[in-house]
Amino acid sequence: MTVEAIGLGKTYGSTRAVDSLSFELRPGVVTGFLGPNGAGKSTTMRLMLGLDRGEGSTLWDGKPLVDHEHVTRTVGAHLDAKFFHPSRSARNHLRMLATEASVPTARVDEVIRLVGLDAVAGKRPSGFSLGMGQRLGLAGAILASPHVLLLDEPANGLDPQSIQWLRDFLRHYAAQGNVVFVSSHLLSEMALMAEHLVVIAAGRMLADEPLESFVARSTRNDVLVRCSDPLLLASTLLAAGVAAVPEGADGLAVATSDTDLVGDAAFRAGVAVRELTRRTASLEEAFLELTSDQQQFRTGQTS
Amino acid sequence: MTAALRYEWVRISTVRSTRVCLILTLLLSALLGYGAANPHHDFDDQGNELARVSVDWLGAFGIPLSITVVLASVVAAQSIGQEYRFGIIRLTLTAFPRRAQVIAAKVAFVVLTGVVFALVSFVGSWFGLLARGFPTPPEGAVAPTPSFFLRGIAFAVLWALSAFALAGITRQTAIGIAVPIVSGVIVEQILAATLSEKASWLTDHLPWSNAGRWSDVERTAANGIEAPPGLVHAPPVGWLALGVFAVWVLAFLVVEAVLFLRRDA
Repeated sequence: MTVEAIGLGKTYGSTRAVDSLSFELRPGVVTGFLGPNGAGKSTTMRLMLGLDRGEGSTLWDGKPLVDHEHVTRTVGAHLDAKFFHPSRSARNHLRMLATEASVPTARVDEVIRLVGLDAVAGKRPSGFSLGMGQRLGLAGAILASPHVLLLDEPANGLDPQSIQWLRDFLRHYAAQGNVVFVSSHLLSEMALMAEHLVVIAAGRMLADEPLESFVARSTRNDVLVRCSDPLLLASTLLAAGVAAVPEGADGLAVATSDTDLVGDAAFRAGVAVRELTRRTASLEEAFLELTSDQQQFRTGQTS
Repeated sequence: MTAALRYEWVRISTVRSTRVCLILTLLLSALLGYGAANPHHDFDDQGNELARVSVDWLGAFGIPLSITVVLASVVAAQSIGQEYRFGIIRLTLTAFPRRAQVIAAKVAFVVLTGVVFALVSFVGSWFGLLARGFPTPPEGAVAPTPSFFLRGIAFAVLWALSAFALAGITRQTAIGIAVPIVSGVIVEQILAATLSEKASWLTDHLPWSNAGRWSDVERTAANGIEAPPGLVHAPPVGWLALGVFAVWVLAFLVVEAVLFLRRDA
């Protein structure tokens, strides 16, 4: 199954929250959904599910969600860790969600065990921590074994072990041929989890590409070279059309990811090389670089 | 549609407040029925106490229902207000993107809620009468007719629907519960008092005041009070009053349905 979002748009008053977003989610990969706060990620997910009224449409295996016989077998969504009634037990909450696709009670119990809520399944969830709420939300999303998982910040409030479990689970779920679309602010986690990225800011598309190529686009990908004569090497590199700036006493940051090119230039210039390192930008660095001027809610500078 | 009804059933039957409201309805109706029965001896024209015991059988059923209907409205208003309050509406509409199905299932369960609460209230009232020692109407008591009980059920259903619609329109459970009470007991009474002479047509068409006159038919007949036509203004009672109320409820439901179908979840 593929999911195709076509021209999604939403306006609140004078604010354009989501602006003509189109992208496709493919099966077998975890697609990360990134954007600064207020970028429109949650609104986009709600538009996809038809929860918010707006422009555009989303096709699930080529047709709108309403045309699917069992919607919960098509898509499972987890949009917020607090979407439950405080006096309805976790098990009853899942029993309620199970009715759409007539999911058997045994599956409810199986999912409860899977997310590790078996000890509190019969208790009222009013006292649940954020992490437990996330587990319950995830349990609801995977209950009917849907072909598509839509998860909005599912890792918030989870402890490191649970985050690792979630990452493994989602990768495994996608590997079974399912679509997994997950938003997260935990960029280090996303770097480990996602293979493809959809990045938006101020409601507009910034990137829709594999994680590797997204990171490779960063200007922070360079080569650090420490050598006996940085100035001579810099001029040699400049003559070859490669920019380099001094870094430290004997170092140069060369604007390329090709270490051979730098090594050859040093050899030709007769400069002794002491260190030659390719530096790759992290997802966080690439993301911040791309969205630095798109942040809606900017923090003040620390003194 | 069957799945949406099953969803509503699990939703309504797995929250504690539904059970609490039902039990309270039973207990309150028994208590109020016990009090409203008020067995007493009447006096003849010479002021002599009659041997016959008089029991207000109508009041024992009508008064408790008119009060415990508020508990039915709690369940009805919660059926949509709580979904918005706790965000569950987004889970509901993700599972059931055909919103018309969802609202239809909810309305069906609110109707069922009204019926069940009315029946529980009647049973509670009968327990109150039983505790008074009058499981059947004594000689001379005005017994409720089948029409009385049917109107009682219709009253509870319409009241619950009005609470549901208002809670849905405003997305606030409290407003769904409070507005019918405040309007019926305070606002409309003030309007009636101030406008009854100048604009009785208006006061005759107020929603919850009409709802409150669902049981007035038998009482009026029992008291033998009948105003000469054209002399005293008589507001609608019984089915007619409920009909006026039903028009209001229908209007509220139409607004709620349109908003439910069009608004963001």
